[in-house]
Amino acid sequence: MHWTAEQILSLATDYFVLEASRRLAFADNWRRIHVDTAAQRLWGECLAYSTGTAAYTQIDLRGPHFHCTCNSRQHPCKHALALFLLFVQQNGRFETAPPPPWVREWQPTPTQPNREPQQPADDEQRQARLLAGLEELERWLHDLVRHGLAHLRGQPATQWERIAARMVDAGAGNLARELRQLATLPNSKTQEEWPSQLLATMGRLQLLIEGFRHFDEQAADHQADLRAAVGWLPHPFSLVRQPQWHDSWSIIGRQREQSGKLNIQRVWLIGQTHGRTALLQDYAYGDQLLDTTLVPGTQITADIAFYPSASPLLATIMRRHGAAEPLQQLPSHPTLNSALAHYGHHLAHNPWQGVHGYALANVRPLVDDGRWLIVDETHHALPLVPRFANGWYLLALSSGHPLHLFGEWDGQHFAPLSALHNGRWHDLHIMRGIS
Amino acid sequence: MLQTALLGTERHPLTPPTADSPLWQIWHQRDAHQPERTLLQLAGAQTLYDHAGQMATPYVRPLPPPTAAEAWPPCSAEASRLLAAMLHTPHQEVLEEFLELLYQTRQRLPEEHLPLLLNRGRRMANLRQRLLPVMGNHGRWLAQQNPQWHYAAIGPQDEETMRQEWLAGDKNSRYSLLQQLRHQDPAQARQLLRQSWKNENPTDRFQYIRLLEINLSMEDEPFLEQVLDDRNLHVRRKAAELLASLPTSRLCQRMAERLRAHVGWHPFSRTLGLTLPSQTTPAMMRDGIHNEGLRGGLGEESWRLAQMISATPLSYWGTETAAAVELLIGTMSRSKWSRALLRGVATAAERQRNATWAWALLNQITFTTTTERNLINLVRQLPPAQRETLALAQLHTQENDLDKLQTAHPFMAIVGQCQHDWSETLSHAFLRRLRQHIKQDKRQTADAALNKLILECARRLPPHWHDEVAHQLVPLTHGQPAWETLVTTLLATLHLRAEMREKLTMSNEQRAMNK
Repeated sequence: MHWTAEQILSLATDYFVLEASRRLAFADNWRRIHVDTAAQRLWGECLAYSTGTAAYTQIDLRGPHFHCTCNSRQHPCKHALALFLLFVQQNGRFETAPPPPWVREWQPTPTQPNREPQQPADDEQRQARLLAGLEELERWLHDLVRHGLAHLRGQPATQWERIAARMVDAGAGNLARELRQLATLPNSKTQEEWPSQLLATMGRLQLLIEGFRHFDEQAADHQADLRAAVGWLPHPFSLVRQPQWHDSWSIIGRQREQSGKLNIQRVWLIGQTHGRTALLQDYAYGDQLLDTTLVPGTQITADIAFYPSASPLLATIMRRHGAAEPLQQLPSHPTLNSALAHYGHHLAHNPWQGVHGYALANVRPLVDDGRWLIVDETHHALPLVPRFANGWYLLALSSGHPLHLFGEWDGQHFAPLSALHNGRWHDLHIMRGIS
Repeated sequence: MLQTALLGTERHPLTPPTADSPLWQIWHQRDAHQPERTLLQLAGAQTLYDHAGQMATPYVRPLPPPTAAEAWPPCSAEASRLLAAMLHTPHQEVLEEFLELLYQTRQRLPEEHLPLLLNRGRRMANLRQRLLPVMGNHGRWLAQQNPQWHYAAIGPQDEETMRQEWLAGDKNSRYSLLQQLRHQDPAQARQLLRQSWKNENPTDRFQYIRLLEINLSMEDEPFLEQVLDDRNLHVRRKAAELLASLPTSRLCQRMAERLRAHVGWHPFSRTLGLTLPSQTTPAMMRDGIHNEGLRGGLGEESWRLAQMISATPLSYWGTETAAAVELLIGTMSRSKWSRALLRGVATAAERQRNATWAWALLNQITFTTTTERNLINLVRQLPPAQRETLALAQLHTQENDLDKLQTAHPFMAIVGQCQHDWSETLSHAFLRRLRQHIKQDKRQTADAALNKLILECARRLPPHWHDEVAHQLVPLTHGQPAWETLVTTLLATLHLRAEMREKLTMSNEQRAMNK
């Protein structure tokens, strides 16, 4: 695979890492940069680390996997990205050499689920624990609306933290995260319409609780969706019994979120033959590393299995065949309403998975009274997320011409993640915004 | 529903949905003892209903027309990547060179870099002037979408549109319109200004008249002559100053007449006979002579003389005396009124951009007698080769003087004005001097001005010298962290520049081959 600078930079965890790695990607900052083509390894010593000691950085190109002796909390760190950039841009400066011991010593840990399943937890026990937790959540929600949401303004977030912690105990990690996000809403200075947002999410939680109240009467797929909504997913290993979708999958968007010490990554894939959309979620707690092997703007041949659902979306890679290739094409919706019709259909089957990725063909971004919109060929428009930071960048790319856009739709706003224009791939989430 | 949620179900009862609403069923099956549950159920259902049924709305306004075809192709992807590195790193100083090279090789900026550059151009005038010619129709199109980028939105337009914009625009956009137009079409800019001149307030008049400095020519003289009678003092003075930079202007001729009454030349003794002007007549005041402000230590009368000289064409001296410039300056510096005389001709050389006089002045005055500002202004009138000669002379005079590479030294001022690609001679001399300096430096830190100079010389040294510079300087910096960092930055910049040239010219040749 021929890597491009854009693909490499799209691996950066945030804008600051990206900026730093660009700064370091000059040969004068490095010493003893080597490559071993057979072992697919490159390594080097970065002088811009601390006085007296260099950062020892290496990359396994087969992943790519990264390793560095610096103490950065970002993965991949700026040194690793810089070394990778340097390799792509100034290949000639790398000398071929056998790996020294410090390079041989490190072996990347495989990220694919190939462990034996743990002892299946007692499902009944877990369900009972969950139901008890949800009952408590319902009482708490009812208390809030009985006294009125207006009271929440100016109140500390501790009561939210308490109920969120209770949800963690009940095995509903997703709900805990949602509640922690809600906690900041009433006191936020930027969200004018917080009461309606808060009410909408509380209503959703109420419906979820109702769903669990009638759990046993529901079909297996709906049961699975209810459980997935609270964060209870079957072990990936159990997916071997699910149908395997063999296809060339375009990796078209990546979104990262942080919630406390938990890092969450959503990677969106679209199958080129089947046209199915798959969402790969990856969680890393504390110092754990997120998967770096799925690079937006590339495509991989893989067998993918979906988690059981009435409208399958969450998935996992069972097997990869060969290395990543540059992205060739992007199966997209011809009009905005065609994507929205699909969304309505999806929501009718699985109301709990509210965020869905869509590739849109031939849309034009534009700014209208300070709000960002996209308009399709049939002159229909959708609003982009409020305070969208990369509007000017997107507008510059299009220059009034239509482009292909991929992003997440949540029923209200479209959040662009990447764009395909004139055959070039642009990762939007890593660009620095301009007001 | 929201009302009830905000106030609380115990205070504000829930209003039932209408019978034809899809929510009616939920209401119908409600548990009357649990209004909270009903409220949340309704809210949840309503949200789902809204989200699932969300449709794209017809957009009726006209879409902005797409950009017109471009005359120049965008630079290569590799060059674009280099540009990204410059935009995001401290190598910003090379940015201007990049834009300049783009212009020379007739390529334009790739679209994705336009927003960042347009944003920077708002504040940085140097960058703006280089950005505008290479941003293409894409840049102009984009700037038209964002009021903050108004300065770049002006394109070739018909006169009427331009006039409308000038008359209707707000303060800032009028200023940038006039500024931009002054660069593109000075005559049209002056025409616009003349038309509305009577209706502008004094502050604006002062701002606008200053813009005539851009591409000032004798074409502007009739208008400026009128402005000498403006009601506002600052506007009048600025007009007089502009006219004083045009040696053939009527103001300069009048001033030469006046001066003739006070200066006499004795061809045999080769001396100047001077009488100081004893008063400021209203006609002199009209031409910008005044008694206020900083006189630089000159008395009232000699200050008057200095002002007269500074607005007199320098050719006056040759015609009056038939003596060479060097000889004249020598005579002036021996005169009793040398300070007034030299100050006058130095300002005149600066205003009239006269390289001959600037060169002669710089060679005959020891720099300690001119203020640094004066020195810089004179150096600016010289062609690159002469600036280098001056810098080299400074380097050679006191080889071992360590203090030379420090803030206040004239050398720093002169070399700071060598803003072109340095010749090999100057580059060699400078490197040799820098080596000496690093070797002898006991403090292990570079002076702030030297620091700045080294970063600046990274933009001036021949880019292909990277290895040579590394070879000469790197061994000296071991164990001196401050110098090590500085030299690493210097090398990185050189490297970037070499790469930039290679990428930009290479793609140019490829394009030529494709044609």
